[in-house]
Amino acid sequence: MSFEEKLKKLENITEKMRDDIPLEESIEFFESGMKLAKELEDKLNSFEKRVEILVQDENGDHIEDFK
Amino acid sequence: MNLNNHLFSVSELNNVIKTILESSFPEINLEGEISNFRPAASGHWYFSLRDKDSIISSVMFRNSSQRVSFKPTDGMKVKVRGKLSLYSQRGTYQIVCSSMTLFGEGDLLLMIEERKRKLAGLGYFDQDIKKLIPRFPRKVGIITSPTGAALQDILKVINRRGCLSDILIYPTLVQGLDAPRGIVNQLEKANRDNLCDLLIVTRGGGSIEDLLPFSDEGVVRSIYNSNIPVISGVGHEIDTSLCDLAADFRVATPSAAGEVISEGAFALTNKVQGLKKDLIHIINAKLLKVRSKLSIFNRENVNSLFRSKLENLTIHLDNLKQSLIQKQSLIMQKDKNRLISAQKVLLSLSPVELFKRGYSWVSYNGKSINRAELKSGDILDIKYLKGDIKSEIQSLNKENI
Repeated sequence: MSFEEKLKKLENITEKMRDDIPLEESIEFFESGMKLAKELEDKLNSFEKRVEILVQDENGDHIEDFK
Repeated sequence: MNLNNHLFSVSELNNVIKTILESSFPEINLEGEISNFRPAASGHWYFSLRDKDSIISSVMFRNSSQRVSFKPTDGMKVKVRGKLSLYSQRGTYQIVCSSMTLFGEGDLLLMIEERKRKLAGLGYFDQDIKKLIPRFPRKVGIITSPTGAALQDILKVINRRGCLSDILIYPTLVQGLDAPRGIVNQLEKANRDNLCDLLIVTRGGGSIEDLLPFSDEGVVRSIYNSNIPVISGVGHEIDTSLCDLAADFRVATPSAAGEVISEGAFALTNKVQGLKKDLIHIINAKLLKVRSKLSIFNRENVNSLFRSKLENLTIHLDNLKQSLIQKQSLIMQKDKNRLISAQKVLLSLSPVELFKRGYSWVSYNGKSINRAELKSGDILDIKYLKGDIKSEIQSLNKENI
C-alpha cells in the first residue's frame, strides 16, 4: 500500500469510528488505525532528505553531498 | 542694539547665536562620512560627520534613529537631513538629524523604481503568468551563497519541520558586481539540468546596495524565463527586490522559503497526528459510554437491587397473609351464625318446648304408647317439664281420633 493509500485508509477508519458501531468493531478499527498511523509516522520520519551541492571545477559540473 | 558697545554675558551671546543659527538652518541636507559613532544606551546616536577637511558634531535622537534601516559605522558615507542647533552649555553647535540614508541610496532606489516600471511594461511581473508552486516538490534547487545565513536558515527550518524533497544547492555570489552573472548562470543551468521541480533564489538581509543584484535586469529576466517555478526570498520583511516581483511566489525571508518547501511534509505529519488523536479520543469516548452502562451491574448495585426486590416481596407476602386471616375469620363468623340459627331451629323442634307449653311424653317400656298394647294396671312412664312420673293405668278407653 502506498503512503497515500494508507493515509486515505486511516481517514476512512477514523470516519467509520465516528459512527455508532458495535464496540468490538470499534476496537478492531482502533487497533488497525493506530497501526496505520504508526506506519505513516515512521514513513514520514524516514524520508531521508538529501542535501547536495553542484560543484564546478576544471572537469565541469558534478554533484556532491553538502556538509 | 549697538553690538560694538554692548557688553554680552556668555549666555546672552550664546542665546543670540542660537537664535540666528537655528532660524537660518531649520532643515538642511548634509552629506559626509561617519566618524566616532557612539550609540547611547538610551537609543540616541552621537557621532561626527566629516569630509576631507572639516568636521561637524551630530546627534540623532532615538525617535529618529529607530527609523534608520541600517547600522551606521565609522567611515560610512551617509546623507542626513536635519537642523542646526547650539548646545549652549558647551558653546558648540551640531546638526540634529531627523533621517539618514546611505549615500547614493536614494539614487539607487530611483534607478530600481525606473527599472521596475520598464520591466512591468514588458509583462515580467504579470500575475497571470505565475506558475503554481508544487506542494510536494521532488527536488528543490536553492540558488544562493553556500556560506550565507540564508541557506542555514532554510536548512534549519526543513530539519525542524521535515521535508519530503531533496535539496540541490546552486552556489553563487549574492552581492557585488559579479553576483548578477552568477545568479543568471545558475538559473539557466538549473533549467538546462532540469533536475529540480522548484527553485529558490534567496539571500539574507543587507543594505539596498547589497540587495542590488536581485534587482538586476538580467536576473529578473532569467526568473521570468525560467520554466521551473521560482520562489524569491530576498532580504527581510521590508526589503523588496525586483526578483520578488518576477518570481512565481514571494516570501519575506529565507526561513519562510524553508517553510514553503517543508509545508507538504509538515501538513502530512500534522494530519497523521490529528487522525491518531481523533482515534484515541473516539475510542475513549466509546469505552466510557460502555463502562457507564456496565456500572449498573457492579456487586453493590446488584445487592441493593436484590434487597429492594426482596423487601417488596416480603411486604407483598405479609399483605397476603393479613388478608387471608381477615377472610378466614369472616368465613368463620358466617359459619358460627349458621350454627346458632340451626340450633335455634333445633331447639324450636325439641319436646322441651312442648313440655314448656304443658305437654308431656307418655311411654311404656321406653316406647311411645301409640304403638303399645295397653291394659289396666300397666305402669306408664310420664315425662314432663319438671321430671318423671310413674303412673298406673286405672281405666283404658280406646277410641279412634
